[in-house]
Amino acid sequence: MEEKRSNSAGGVGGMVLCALIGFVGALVVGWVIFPKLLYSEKTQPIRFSHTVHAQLGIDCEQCHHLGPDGRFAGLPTTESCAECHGEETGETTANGKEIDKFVKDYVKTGVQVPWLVYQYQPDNVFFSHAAHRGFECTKCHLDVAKMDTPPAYYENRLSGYSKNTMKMWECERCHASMGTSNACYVCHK
Amino acid sequence: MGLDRRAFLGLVAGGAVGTMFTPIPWKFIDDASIWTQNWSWIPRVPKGQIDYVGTSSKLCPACEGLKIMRVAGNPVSAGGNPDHPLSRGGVSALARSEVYMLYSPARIKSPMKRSGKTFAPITWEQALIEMAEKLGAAKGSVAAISGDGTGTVNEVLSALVGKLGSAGCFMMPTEATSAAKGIKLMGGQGQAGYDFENADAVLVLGADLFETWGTSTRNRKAFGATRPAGAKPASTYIYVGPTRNNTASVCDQWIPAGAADFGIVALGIAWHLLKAGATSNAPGFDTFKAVVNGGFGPEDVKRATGIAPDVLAGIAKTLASAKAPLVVTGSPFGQGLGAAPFIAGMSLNMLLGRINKPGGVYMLPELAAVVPGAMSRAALLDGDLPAFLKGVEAGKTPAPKALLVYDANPAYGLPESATMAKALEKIPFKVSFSSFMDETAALCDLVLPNSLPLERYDDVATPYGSGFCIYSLVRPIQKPIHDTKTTGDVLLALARKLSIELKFDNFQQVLKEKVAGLAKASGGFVAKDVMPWQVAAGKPAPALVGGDLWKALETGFAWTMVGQVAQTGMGFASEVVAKAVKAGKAPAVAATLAPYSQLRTGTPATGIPCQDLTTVPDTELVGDTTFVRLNSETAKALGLKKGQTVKLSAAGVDCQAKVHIFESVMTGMVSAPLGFGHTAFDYFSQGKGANYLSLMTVAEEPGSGMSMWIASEVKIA
Amino acid sequence: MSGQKMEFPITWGMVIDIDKCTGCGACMASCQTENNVEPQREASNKLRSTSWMTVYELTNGKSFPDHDIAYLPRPCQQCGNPPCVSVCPVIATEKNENGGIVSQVYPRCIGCRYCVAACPYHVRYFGWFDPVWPEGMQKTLSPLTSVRPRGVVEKCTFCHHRWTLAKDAARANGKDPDNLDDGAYVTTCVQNCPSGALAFGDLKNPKHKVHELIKSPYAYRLLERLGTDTQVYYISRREWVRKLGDNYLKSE
Repeated sequence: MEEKRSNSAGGVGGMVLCALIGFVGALVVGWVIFPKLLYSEKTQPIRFSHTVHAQLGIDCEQCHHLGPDGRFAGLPTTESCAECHGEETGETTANGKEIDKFVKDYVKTGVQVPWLVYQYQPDNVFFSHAAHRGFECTKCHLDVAKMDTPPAYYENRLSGYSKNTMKMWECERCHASMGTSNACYVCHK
Repeated sequence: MGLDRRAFLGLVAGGAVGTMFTPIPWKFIDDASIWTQNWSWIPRVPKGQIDYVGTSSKLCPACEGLKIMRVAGNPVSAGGNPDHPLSRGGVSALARSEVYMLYSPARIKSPMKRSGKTFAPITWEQALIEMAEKLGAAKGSVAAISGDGTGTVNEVLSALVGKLGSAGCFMMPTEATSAAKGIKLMGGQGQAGYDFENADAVLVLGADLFETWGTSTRNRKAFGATRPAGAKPASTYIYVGPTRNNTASVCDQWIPAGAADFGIVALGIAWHLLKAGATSNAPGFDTFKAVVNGGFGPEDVKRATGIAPDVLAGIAKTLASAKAPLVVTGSPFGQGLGAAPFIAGMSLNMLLGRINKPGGVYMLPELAAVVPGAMSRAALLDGDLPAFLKGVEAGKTPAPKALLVYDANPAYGLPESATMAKALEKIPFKVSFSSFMDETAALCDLVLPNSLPLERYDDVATPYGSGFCIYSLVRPIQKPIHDTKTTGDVLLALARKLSIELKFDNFQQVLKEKVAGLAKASGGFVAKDVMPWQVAAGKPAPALVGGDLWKALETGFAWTMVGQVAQTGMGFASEVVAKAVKAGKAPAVAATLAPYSQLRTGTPATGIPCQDLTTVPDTELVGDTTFVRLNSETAKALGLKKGQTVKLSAAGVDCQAKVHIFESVMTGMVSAPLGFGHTAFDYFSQGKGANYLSLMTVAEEPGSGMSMWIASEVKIA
Repeated sequence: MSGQKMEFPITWGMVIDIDKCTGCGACMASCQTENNVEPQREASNKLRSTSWMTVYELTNGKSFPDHDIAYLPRPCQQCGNPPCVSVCPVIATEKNENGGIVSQVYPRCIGCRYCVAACPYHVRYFGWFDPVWPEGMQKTLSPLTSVRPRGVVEKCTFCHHRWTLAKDAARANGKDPDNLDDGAYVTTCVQNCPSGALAFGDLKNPKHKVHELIKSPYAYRLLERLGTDTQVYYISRREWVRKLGDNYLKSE
């Protein structure tokens, strides 16, 4: 009993110390460890270098364009990539090897590349690129044109969406600031 | 320092407070809620570029041109093609289902050979060897049944069977069969085509014009065009038939008449027209006049059909005073009419001077055949399949040694189905080319699945009912999903194996040759800005623009031609009519079966399309029971009550049904939906209701000798 | 109804000519697939099956031969004053967008079914089961409508996605997306109807055909006396058909 009493006297400080440790620990877990646990890191099936293509003077719109009906065509098909990369190069450079991998795995087999799209919205969202044409692409998208290696793709283990998928509040905030309607069906389907 | 209780609590409290300053709780709640919106078993929608490609419907007898929506190259849905004369943007519930049928659970996934009571998959090579061997042995006694009323594949099939030694090449009976027989007996040439677009008064004798008769989607577009919403209609449509069916429900007038009485009604109207001075210089007019005047006066018709004299006079007046009257005769369920009622109806068109006139009946030429030794469509339609099979069943006709069944389901889609199935069993070697496991395929020894229309090249040539010659292509939009092949190709490969020369190596070549022939035909053009009925009404036909007709057809456009066969000696065929149509006193029958058919329950060859099951009302099907409709007077006479389960018996067959009291059925008639009661196909068709077609008994029509089953007495208990 | 009537510069509306409808079901079949409604094996149970568009059979109640029938296709009526919206506890359904289409957001719906009870037109359907497609058929799902899990309410949206498509096409062609040509946006049922019984457009735009059609003396709306102010009009030259559109006293 004696001992415990004396312990309790010095224990107040110990308790505060522990609380502090717990507090800092939680911050570390929450800000550093949790995000690493929440997202799985994935790399693109082909290391596509936007920089190389941009330096060749290819406009973004040449591959990512609006169709005549105003619908965004999204990513180019294997066939359109094959217009330039139809045959293996046989080069030993890193880029050359990557091209050959693409030709071998996708062009020859006629399979579409399962690109990981950083911005895909859920099925119930109807996003119109035509309506947002006035904005810079990089307002929402990663500025991949300056990247030689595509950035890692982080997939949320719980929701299954990309970490870069724009959240509804972000859409709404911009719509509100632009005076655009935030009615459900403006975006949802 | 050990971790005591207080220190632990402090740690926990600190951790809890700290957590509140991290994204953990908020992000976790948010993501967890999103997680609940994405169950793994709820399918995701496809992503990718949307585009539209043209083709034609082959599953739907209305033969609409289609626009197929694709996502990333995969077909997703079928809509009407506004540029196609048989669609003009419209599409039936059946044509709409073409895309989903690709994945129908009833599809046959590979060639199969019977082993005992089941089937075992085999390879195409094995199948061809087996078939070549069996057909080689059956030479001289090979029969074929085709359910494709518009395809050039019939040329390949009939030529092959002809060279093997034919025991008969038959079409499944449809409206076209009765019409072809009627035209032949009248001494006419060509296929009857009806120019609804330019007609302003249409008398419909029985034909379910807006549902199953001919080019029904086009018929409805033509009807709709003369009926601006909320304004006075620019056309008059009168329907004569046993029920106020889908067609009659929008017509200006419904005149109740039994399905066996259409000939009498036609001649009764002719009596009024003749009285008003109508005349014709066609052969046999005098006999016709004598027949009509001798037994089809207003009182005769009233006694036989119950139609009041003033009603009949009213119809005659409407027709006589119209600028472009037109009479269409058909069966309320699309088959079994016989030739005489058709001839009687056509006689009215002749009295009114409507042959080869805008808004009248065009006698359309048949498109030139390309396969040597092929039978013409007229020759194919001349065969009498029910009579043949009945003969086989009774042992009067020798059973063929082999039978090829293409796009047809005779074990289900013929009257007296039980008899027909027995006849089929007598044929020792049977091959079905069906895409679906239907009732007939289930009886066959070999099943060689045809690719579906969206997976193959095929064509549509002037479907019966079309007012103009028309040709459109069906082209593959999707690789075959299962191990299936285009039957045209299989037949040509088989011919090679049997050393039979059919001139072509593959079916696409046949179609290319057909199209090359069309490009040379004079008067033909590609319907784009000018539609064929506008040309019929006097607008100059555009020239067939030089260039690739094949390419234009592949894009979804249709080649069309306003043509007509000049008639030499098309007459009234009064001797046939006089024998077959008699206005006696109506026999006292307790109940007559009056079937009706609808595209939403598919055709015998397709089964019920899965997405269309929802469109079937609960006055037609509930659970596994179908309803028959009768009016309260009939129900009272038969002692039946609403919702009561009854047994219908005829032709040695019993069918179950529930009673639905429906006042738009003539007294004495039992109206029954067709398209139900499948024993094969998938769970969307199988076991749903009864097949009332099996209750219809086949009789020989006096005068023409043709099989008919337009109305049958039925017992209800 | 005490709700506020909403007015918008664009009012999408449907005009259905009952005198042309043969009841064939092409509109229903078109709707099912356009909007990713699963094929329903036991579709004859009308209490459990889903069909955003339903064709009702109307009769004049007389006996043969005076009996007459008509078919009434029923999409969501897109009320100007929607009874479903005011009862929704979670704002999963709203009428707040130009065009006047009553929205339904599935992830937000909690499945309480107040709206199902409130709707006088029975246009709302509750998903009792998760949707299932026969193997492979999910490849034919439309990308334009999201798939609903069980436990939420769904209804006709006037194929709202087609409006967004039409607006995109207008933008791509340098046209005003808020002033579409007549016919640039129509629903799938309207587009595919073989009889041409259905018309669609902006009721307030004089360049659209429906603007005139609704002025026809034969035009009426369903249950007008409720004050729902619907955006779906029906036309019939038959008086008995029009009378069935609302509840009348015997003396009326």
